[in-house]
Amino acid sequence: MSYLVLLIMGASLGYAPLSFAKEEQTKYSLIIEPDQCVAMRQGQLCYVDVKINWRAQHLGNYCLFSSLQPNALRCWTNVKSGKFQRDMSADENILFSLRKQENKDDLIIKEIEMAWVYDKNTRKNISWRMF
Amino acid sequence: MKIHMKKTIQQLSLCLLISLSAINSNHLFAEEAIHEAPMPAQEDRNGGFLKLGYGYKIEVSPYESEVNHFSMFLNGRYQWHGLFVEASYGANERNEGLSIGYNLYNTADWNFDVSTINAHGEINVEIIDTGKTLSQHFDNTDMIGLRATGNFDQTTIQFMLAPYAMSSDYDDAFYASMWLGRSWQVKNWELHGSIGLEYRSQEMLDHYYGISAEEATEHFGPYEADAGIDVTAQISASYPISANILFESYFKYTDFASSISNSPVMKFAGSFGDRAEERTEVGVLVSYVF
Repeated sequence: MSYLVLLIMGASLGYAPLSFAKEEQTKYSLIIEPDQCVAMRQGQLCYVDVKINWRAQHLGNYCLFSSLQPNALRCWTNVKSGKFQRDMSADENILFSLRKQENKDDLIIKEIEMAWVYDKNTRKNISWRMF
Repeated sequence: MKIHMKKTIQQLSLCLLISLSAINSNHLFAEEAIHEAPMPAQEDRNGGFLKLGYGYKIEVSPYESEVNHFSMFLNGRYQWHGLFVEASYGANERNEGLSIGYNLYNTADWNFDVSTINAHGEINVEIIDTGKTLSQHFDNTDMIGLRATGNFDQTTIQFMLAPYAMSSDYDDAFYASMWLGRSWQVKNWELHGSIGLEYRSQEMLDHYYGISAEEATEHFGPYEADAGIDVTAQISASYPISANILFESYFKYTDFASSISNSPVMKFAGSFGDRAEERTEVGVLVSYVF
């Protein structure tokens, strides 16, 4: 009997934060274009012109962050939507997140996926060139 | 007069024109890395790629009338436990068709193979000159040789020596090539430049381009071709539209060995309106990489 109670409590504790996170996500939208950056070869820097649109339900002070730098890409004051555009380069997926200015928690996260035509490890096999 | 000449492949690969010091310094650096990372086993090198393209191609050469139309392009390589097959049909300086081989030995930067090579394509000549016909029909020369390919960052260098003819009706065929290629990344574009030297022995070139006293006609006198070197240069630009689709364009130019260009038949063919003494090729295509 005590085993059953513990199991239900555990399930309940695990479920609650997930439910909360999902609600938080629906309060915000973060649209990243494009959602993929394609380089010729794995490991190369991929160059992309990133366009971001975000929207929140309530007015507030928000900041946009990326995994490429610790500082905010840009902050907005007393707004509930914003736009951002910048040329970026990376060799791994770029994560973007929206945060309240006074809070370090991510309100919503989206990413640009890095893709490539030729895998890095195939190059040494190729007698001449692969294209 | 009717001339019909066909050459399936004349170029192969190559290399040269390099900054040896740059190559050597990279090589030394790479050698240090050998001690840190074990060499991949032969089975780890299994795999390859296949690229199919479709695009527009313009090619002017002495061998055939101007090519000016949409065309398919194919490039691929697959290796399995050392055995490999390579296919190059257009849009590549090594437009040499199908070759097979075995990967003998590898270092961190170099691959050593034994491989087949189509060292010269077939040629068919039929010229009626003041009542006498000059008729020459020669098959491909397929050879087998040793090939060394070095990869140094964005630079590729390749040497090949092919002393054994697998199918030829003449003796002492010898083919050697050196190629040097370098690529540059400009944003997501890849630019590539390469230059190649291809040597063919006197016996090989005389077989294809020589005219014996018995064959000679009034305007196509006896000719003995010497050994010679073709020089090919190519530049290309590629852009990845998606992880499988590439936009590509290229320009290729081949300056044939003087012993080829000076052949009476080749001089005559090169003077035709839709042909030229040297080979120039331009292509724009979209490719799918599997």
